[in-house]
Amino acid sequence: MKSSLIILSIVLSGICFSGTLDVVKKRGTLRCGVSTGLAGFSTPDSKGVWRGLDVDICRAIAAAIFNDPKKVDYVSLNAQQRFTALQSGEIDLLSRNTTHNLSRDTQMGINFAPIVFFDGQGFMVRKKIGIKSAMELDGASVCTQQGTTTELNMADFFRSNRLKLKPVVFESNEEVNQSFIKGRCDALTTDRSGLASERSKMKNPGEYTILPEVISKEPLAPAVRHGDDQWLDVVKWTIYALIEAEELEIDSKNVKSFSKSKNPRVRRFLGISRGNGKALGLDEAWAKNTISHVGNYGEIFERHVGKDSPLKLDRGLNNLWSKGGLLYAPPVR
Amino acid sequence: MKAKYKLSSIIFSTTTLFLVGGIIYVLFSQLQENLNTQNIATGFSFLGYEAGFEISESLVDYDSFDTYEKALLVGFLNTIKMAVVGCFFAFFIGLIFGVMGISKKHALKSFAENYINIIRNIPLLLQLFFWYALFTDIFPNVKEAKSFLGVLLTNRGFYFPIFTSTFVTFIFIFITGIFLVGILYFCLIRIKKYKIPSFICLNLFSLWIITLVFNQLFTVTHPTLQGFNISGGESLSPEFCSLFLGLTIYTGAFMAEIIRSGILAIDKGQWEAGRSIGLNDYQLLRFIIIPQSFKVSLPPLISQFLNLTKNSSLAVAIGYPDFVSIANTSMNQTGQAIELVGLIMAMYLSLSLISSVTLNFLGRSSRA
Repeated sequence: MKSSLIILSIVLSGICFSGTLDVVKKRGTLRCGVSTGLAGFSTPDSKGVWRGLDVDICRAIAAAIFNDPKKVDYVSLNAQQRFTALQSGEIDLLSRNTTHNLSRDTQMGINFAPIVFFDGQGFMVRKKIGIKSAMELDGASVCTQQGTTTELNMADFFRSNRLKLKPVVFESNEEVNQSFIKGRCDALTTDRSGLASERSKMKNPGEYTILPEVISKEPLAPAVRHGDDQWLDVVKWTIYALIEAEELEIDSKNVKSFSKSKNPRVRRFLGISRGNGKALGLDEAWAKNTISHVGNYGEIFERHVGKDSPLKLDRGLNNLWSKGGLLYAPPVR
Repeated sequence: MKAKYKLSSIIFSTTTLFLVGGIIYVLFSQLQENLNTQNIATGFSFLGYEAGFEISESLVDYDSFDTYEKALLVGFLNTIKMAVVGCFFAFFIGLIFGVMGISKKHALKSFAENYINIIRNIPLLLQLFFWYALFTDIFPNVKEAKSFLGVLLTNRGFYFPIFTSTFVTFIFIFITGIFLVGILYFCLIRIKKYKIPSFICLNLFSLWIITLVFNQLFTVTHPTLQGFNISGGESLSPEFCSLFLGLTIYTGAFMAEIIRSGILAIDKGQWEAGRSIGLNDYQLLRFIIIPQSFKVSLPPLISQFLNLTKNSSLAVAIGYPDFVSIANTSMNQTGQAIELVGLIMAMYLSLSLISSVTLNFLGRSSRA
């Protein structure tokens, strides 16, 4: 029913959707759409504070605009509500483990910012059933969430390998996981990071295994409304700043020590050499503020999904280009 | 005085008409403009595109190569299936508990009253979650499934054996059937001379013969475990069963109350008149009271039938692929929320209007 309300607001809203940056500055907070709870990406902790990689993207942008990462209103959205919420102007930014693909980019009136997490869809099964590959899943019941690209990828994978599929599709993520745990399904499918996240929440994570096949490319990226280039620039370059900072080995702890740096790249990045901030419509110290409050990409990754977190993911593709990954920021100049 | 009143009412109606029309026009053109500036696709051409997702249960053949149109049809048929089966059984439950509610036996009466009060006051969505959790929790995994009279009860659904036969065996069975019924009828005429136990014996005997013949001529496909799931036979999914149970038990409680109040609305004189001509309680209810009570209870009963149909859209919470569920999935793949929400509304509206017109017509013709 929420979606019908949102549709009504699309109808009623006479607002021209350009000028999101001004609207955000005037309001004093960033309205950020996050998930309903996905450990490591966006989930409230025991004190009700939102934490995760996707949440840190919101915090980074708030820090770039306001020099205060706390100026974010989080709107938790399920897979179905997310695009309508963005289209209707209910949120300024969608940072909710959302796959970038052609149809979303074109038909839905949204634009994607740079990819913040390179993922791929996988399957999780009970170790007990003793299979080693997704090719052995013929005739299996597979649980998944409604309104995701996983639903389509799964159908493609089973169809191209001539396997029989019995999908069980739920609206809420909790119901999907509960049904898998209780044995309604043989396998659970979503992005592999999502599987690791769900496994970390289970009572006995040791009983489950993630199969080696990666059946799709799932580049997860934040999204903004189509037609507001200035706002897209702000989001885009804040994310690049996180990557650039890691490349320059600037992190939240040592950022102050760089203020006297003679390196022109560092000086431009931190706003000591002026110009970048004005071009974006932000304070000259935008990147410095972002890094000192939120940290660079590497810090964010390790904090939420890396080796020391419950998810225990490798950097893998999500490493700098210079270290064998895919993260590459264009020059900040 | 009268003319003035008429004139003012005309002015009032026309202004209202223009106002409402104007508002609708402004909203619609605003919507078009907003969608265009935001570059959101519009129109119904997506219905012809390949859907690309699988659906777990379907009354017609469907796979992910089919179009959105076909996928929505599958959802529509699943909604109809639930509505028809649900309405039928909910009415039955309502009738039984409604009559129990006016019983003179205290135990029956309080049982019915408690059922009605408890079920009516718990939100339907909670009840659905309860039934679904019950299904997935109490029944065993497919690998440990136990057979009960040939039926496999598992947390993936109930699996029944089915008879498969050729045309020749069907003809043969048909002729034997007629023959057996003939014998049975003949015996029934003679039976009045005998006592009831011999009647039961005879019935059991013919039942035994029928089963023997069935087993000889028909191949029975028993559901068996193959790989991950059970194949062969027919099955009912836990999603269907829990939605069915939830809806019928919930709506049944409302219907029971309506039927009970319908019965109570019948004048005491009707009961007394019935008793005075020597009818027993069953005959009294069956021939005098209940037929009359439907005059009172039919309109609210119809609205309960409609409620059940509309409530079946809660299926999305427990994974039954009804129309709303399929439309939601399509909405996400295509991004065309306005068209699909429009389709959902049109579907329920026409379904409700058709069934209410039909039921009203039936009600009127039975009264005449």
